[in-house]
Amino acid sequence: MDERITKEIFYGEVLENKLLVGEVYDMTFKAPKEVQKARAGQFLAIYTGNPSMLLPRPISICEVDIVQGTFRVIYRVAGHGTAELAKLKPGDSLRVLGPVGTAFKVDSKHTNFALVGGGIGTPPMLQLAKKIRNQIPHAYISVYLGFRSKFQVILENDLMRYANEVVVATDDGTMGIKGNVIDTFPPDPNFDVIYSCGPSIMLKFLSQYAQERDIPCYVSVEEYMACSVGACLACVVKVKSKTDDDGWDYKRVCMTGPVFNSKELEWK
Amino acid sequence: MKLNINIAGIEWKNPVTTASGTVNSGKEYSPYVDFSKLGALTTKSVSAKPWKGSQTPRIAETYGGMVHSIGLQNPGIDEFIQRDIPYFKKLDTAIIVNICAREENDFVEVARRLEEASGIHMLELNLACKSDDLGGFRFAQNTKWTESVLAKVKKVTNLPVIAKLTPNVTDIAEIAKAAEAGGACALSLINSVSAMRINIETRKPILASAMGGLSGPAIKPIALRCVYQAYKAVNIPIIGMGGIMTGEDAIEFLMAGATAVGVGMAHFINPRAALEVIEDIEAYMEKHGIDDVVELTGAAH
Repeated sequence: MDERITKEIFYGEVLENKLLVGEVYDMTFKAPKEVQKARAGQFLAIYTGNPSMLLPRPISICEVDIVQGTFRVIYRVAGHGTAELAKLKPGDSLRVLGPVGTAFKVDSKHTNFALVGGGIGTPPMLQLAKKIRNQIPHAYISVYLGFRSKFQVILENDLMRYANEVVVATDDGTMGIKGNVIDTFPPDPNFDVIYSCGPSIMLKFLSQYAQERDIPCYVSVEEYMACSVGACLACVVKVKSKTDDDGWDYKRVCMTGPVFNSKELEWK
Repeated sequence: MKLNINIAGIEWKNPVTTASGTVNSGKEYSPYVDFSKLGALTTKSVSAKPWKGSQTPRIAETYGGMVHSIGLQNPGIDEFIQRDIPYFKKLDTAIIVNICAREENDFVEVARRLEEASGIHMLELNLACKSDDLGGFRFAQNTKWTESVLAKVKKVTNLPVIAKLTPNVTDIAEIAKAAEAGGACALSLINSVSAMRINIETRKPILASAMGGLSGPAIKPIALRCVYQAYKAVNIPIIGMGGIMTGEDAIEFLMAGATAVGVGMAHFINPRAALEVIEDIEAYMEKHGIDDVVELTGAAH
């Protein structure tokens, strides 16, 4: 191979791929070389293996185990492509491009961390909690999770391994506080920083909340994606721009994101 | 075994390029693939002024392809020249810059700028662009518009000009002839096929622009048919493209009448796709005792 070629598509060996709740699957696969490069907040572009569904599926990294050399991803079967992934069995091979995108930056000066996960946006919060705990042993990590009902709740126990507290809200009140995830925040929060991944409407309100209180807030956003390497310009979001006449410009989620400073985004 | 070809005096080391719009200007894919191994690199469309492109969602997958409306987002010719030409100079391949515009004058303006720039070998006009001056139709949906814009661009540049045509026409052969008459050195066939998808839960089109272009292996038979018809109609070379995933696909295009091929959406599935197409063509030639790749052009006629 040409020595200037620094990246290639890799194959992982599926170790486990089990139904977690509802239509949500929990998959662990081995790729010892590539896990070394992975950072919290990045995602993997996973090919379905079905030749009629060609594009890779962008899926957040939930957890990496450097020692075991494994990636863990949690995904919802949202269409035909993810349904193909759900069919994978231990021993099967998985074709993957990545890790892709920007990571959550953790500032060692911070002590009080708020990690906010909405539904299937929760998985990247796990690797982030792990990273914060490793980097800042004395950190106080509060995790706030929002789901439609108790039947969708995921990763609550996994997150307790690194977090000081995990608070759950459900839309229907079947578990934790009835309401949205922001309703679960303490009245006078002392958050140094907020990190989040979830539905765009949740991210928008969270961004407003953070801005009103002058708390730094980093969000991981999602868009339909084709190439995952920055070439096709499908996965763009509006980002504020001082030089642009309209005050905003399109930036690629796969290159400038998926993690953005919420202040930089032009919310719809 | 001779794999190199010559189009309008420009030497390609093999008959494979990238299809416009799929690898941007090449940089993003360069960690995965060495574009110097291709016959040519064809860029994403560049316009006179920056274009922001379509609202999102911009793509929707479908069986064997994707419907897309990126809206030709690009930074405009000024930034393009500054940002991309230094990169092109590091590559050992023919550089084809694709131009988009909503009016004739802008095609001419961008061509003039590229004529002044260095390190560019060929131009390709994206004649599937829609124009308000043409009542919202595409340049290459009418023989007069096709011939006129090519003739005007030819006046301001000595670079060979390729006409990239849309399949969304009644008779591709007559448009191909008009492009030849306008001075095109070659035809790129085809651009994406007009298409759409609908979300049955929201009862709305998936793409923000409602309609877009279909690309990928789903359109290969349509593209082959267009190349086959155009080959009968014109004497200039054809660069065939539309859903090429493998060397077998590429050879079909050569046999339909193409002198070269463009690999597009396949990059999204396999960044090395174009290199593998070259390897596959070589293997085919060896297996069938073919000395020169041009022997395959038009073999199906």
